[in-house]
Amino acid sequence: MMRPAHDDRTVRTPDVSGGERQGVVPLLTVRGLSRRFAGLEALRDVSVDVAAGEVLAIIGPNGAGKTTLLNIVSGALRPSAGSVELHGRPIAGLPAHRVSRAGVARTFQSLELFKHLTVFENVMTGGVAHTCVGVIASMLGLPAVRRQRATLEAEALDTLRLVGLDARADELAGSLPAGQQRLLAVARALASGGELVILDEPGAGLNQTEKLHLAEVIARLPGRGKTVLFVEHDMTLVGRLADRIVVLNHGRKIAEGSPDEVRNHPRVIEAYLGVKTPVVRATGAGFGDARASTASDAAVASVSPGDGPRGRATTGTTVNGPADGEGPVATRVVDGARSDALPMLRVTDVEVAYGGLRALQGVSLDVHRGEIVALVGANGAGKTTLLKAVARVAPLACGSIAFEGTDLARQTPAAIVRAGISMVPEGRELFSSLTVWDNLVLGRYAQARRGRAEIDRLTDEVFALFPALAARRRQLAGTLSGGEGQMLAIGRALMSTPRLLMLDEPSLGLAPQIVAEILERLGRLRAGGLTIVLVEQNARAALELADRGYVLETGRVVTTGTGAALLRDPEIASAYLGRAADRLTGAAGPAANSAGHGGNDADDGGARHQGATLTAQSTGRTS
Amino acid sequence: MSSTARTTERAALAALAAALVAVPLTGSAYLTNLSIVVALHALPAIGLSLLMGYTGQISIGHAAFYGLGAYASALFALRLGVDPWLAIAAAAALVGAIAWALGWVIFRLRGHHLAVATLALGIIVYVGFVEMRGLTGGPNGLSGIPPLSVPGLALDSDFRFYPVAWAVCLTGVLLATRLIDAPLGLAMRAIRESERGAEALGTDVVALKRRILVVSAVFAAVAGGLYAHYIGFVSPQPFGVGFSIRLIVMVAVGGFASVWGALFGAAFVTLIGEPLQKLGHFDVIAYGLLLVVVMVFFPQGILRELGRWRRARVRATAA
Repeated sequence: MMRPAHDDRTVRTPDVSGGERQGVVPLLTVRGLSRRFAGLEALRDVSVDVAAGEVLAIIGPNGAGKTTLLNIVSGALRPSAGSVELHGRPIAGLPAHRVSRAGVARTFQSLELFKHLTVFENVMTGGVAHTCVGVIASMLGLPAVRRQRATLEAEALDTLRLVGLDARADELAGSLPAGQQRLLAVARALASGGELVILDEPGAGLNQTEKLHLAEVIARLPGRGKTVLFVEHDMTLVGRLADRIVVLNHGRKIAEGSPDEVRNHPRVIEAYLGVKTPVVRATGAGFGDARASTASDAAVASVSPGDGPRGRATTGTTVNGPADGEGPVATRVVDGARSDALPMLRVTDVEVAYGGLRALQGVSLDVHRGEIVALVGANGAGKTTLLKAVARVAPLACGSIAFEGTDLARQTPAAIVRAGISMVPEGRELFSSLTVWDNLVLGRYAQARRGRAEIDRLTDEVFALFPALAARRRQLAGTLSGGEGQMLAIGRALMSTPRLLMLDEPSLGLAPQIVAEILERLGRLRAGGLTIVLVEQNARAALELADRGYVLETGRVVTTGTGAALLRDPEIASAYLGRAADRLTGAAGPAANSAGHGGNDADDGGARHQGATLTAQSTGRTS
Repeated sequence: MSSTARTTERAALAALAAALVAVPLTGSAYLTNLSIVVALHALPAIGLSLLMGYTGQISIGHAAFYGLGAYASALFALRLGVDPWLAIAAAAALVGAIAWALGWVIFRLRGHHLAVATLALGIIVYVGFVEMRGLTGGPNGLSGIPPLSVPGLALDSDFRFYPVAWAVCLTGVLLATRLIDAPLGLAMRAIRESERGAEALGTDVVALKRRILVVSAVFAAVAGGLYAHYIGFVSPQPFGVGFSIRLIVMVAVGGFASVWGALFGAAFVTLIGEPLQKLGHFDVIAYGLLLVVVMVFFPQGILRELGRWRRARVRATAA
């Protein structure tokens, strides 16, 4: 098998600028790629060219289709339509090992390291398939085996030196800290000799030092004859490495160009920080609509910066209220008297570690009765881990979590649900081969002793909240659309009559209208007295809805405040689109401004109006 | 590898060699016979270790390959009058071909499904031995199978067969360790660790699994052939699911991914099988219990776990 010469320094530097390549035959050509999963169009008509020697980043919010694209290019998935060519030869639909042999190396988000093999063996394995020595030759110990081993050992050592892991060659891969496992995954991919190196979130879970080192390694690859295609959420890392960026959102390519161009692209900013919900968008950029301003006046009057979570606007006006009035679920009454008491949920100095990776460090937050608290931040910031820590499905290294004054640290996940906390997990986790009805009943199963009448009452409440589900109660959950599936997941969580509902990425993979609908229902649930913790990639929508928010970055809370205040906070933009650094300095400003969107509204961030609107609608008390 | 580990390994090899030489010198036909049985069980156990321990593909029907090897070799010799050595070789080739074909079907399955499919395979083959009376003699089996011979000498006693059994067994150990030490052994272990990872590195995962299944089946078939010509009689009973389970216990005792461990496990299980014979058909319960105990307390195999405990104690006393 051919391997690119490692000392070949004559590789053409990519002559790309602003997405226009001048007469370069691309190494990889992707044309009209589409991929449908049941009920979800993960990728729609995406075309991308990658020139030899180029470093191309693919970015986009969660569920944008980035990994789907990588999976199709690397042969792990078949496309529904479209073509993928490497050096002009079609590779779409080939099995993964043949794509690999054709010259495509890849890493995985989940790394897929061979944990019980040493670091050295992991890298050697990378080259085994490309040096064809059969089973019988290996058993007989023919000279070819010795030559093969010598070659692989030399190459593995060389590759390990490149990534700086040669000192740990004899350790088990599973015992390396997270950062070095990422490096090892890159080294192993390099060892397979592919000229196109695909990296799926190489920087995920790494600290700044580790990322810097990783960036140096990746930056060296073009000099070794490699072309790099990578997906990454850390925009600082992307800006540092990428010659060009392709932006995906909802399965479509929405922008392409140099890092600077992409960061300033309005559609990109919108994709990352979320579009305003359609209701608000209809009111125009200034939110000058009469309905909104009525509420906003009240909000401005009663909510001054620094106000606690209970300082919500409390006008009696119902604005933007649901057309069909308050459903039965929304009949629980907010207990305003508790506002000064202990918070409903208090998380103190929580630390969670997975293997060598510290996912949360010293995180503290309070959730008060009857409020919606949004946790926002880029992928890998620790939002999901925080929810899992509360639900007791993630191990707590230290810190404490108290719910209504009771310590949860030693409780089982089942006890947490009985205590009144329910979680809607990321990706919904529906029982896809059971009907909608069965899924709902299973949400009550552990507490089903009270019998059928209770279950009927609760399912009726869920159906009142999500009428779309009522018509589909006999349908298999696996055949629901993404939006209906999310509604079912929320409905199932409500079946255990929680007092605290935690949602992880409810908008994942959904169209904006559906997202707006679901968020509106969350507002209704709050009106009914339910307390909600919301993890949401669509930061704008989440903060517009939320009373308060916490911004997480690499496992820490970096800032907190009311939803409206956070919407104007540049920290948000940097948490998603990267901090101003290196050549990205100039780009952070506009992004930050846009994040605060609505400077044209004199006193208050435009977004606050929406928060106030929902607040006004949700609390029945009059001030 | 540390120098102490190498010393331990050399000591173990020396002890094994001494034991192998000593057994026939005792003049005890019982001990010699037992030792032969260890060798004949070690071969399929090593094959299973390659498939299950190293490549991560479970088989709960491995006795089928052992039985097919025994019956095929016996039939070649009895019906076609083929020389026993050739009969064993032909049986091994036939079983290898069967395994190749089976691999095409069963490696569409993974995990529990693969386990159930291989279990079913073992049952089907066993039922075949019992029911295909015209070919296999049914429950009565086949008798009068000619013994192996070398020029001028029929290997028809325990003492004469003993060196052959162990020569073949140790050859199997040698071939298996070479395979594991070769770069291809890395690809096998890679499949066990992460099929997605192995595939992305260009390994044709299904093809390699099939090849290892063939190697594993041939190991079992050769042992089965040796068994048939050693005992001179085959019947379905030794090739049932019970033996498949015992093979798994052997591999587990040896620590799954260990060729020498499988040899140790074969010796261990065969030796404790002697007192267990008193239990009759209930011996399966004892093997089941043994498997549970090994999985819970010795997940790395008895040898490795004991070594670790000893090292831990040494450290504790040193501290």
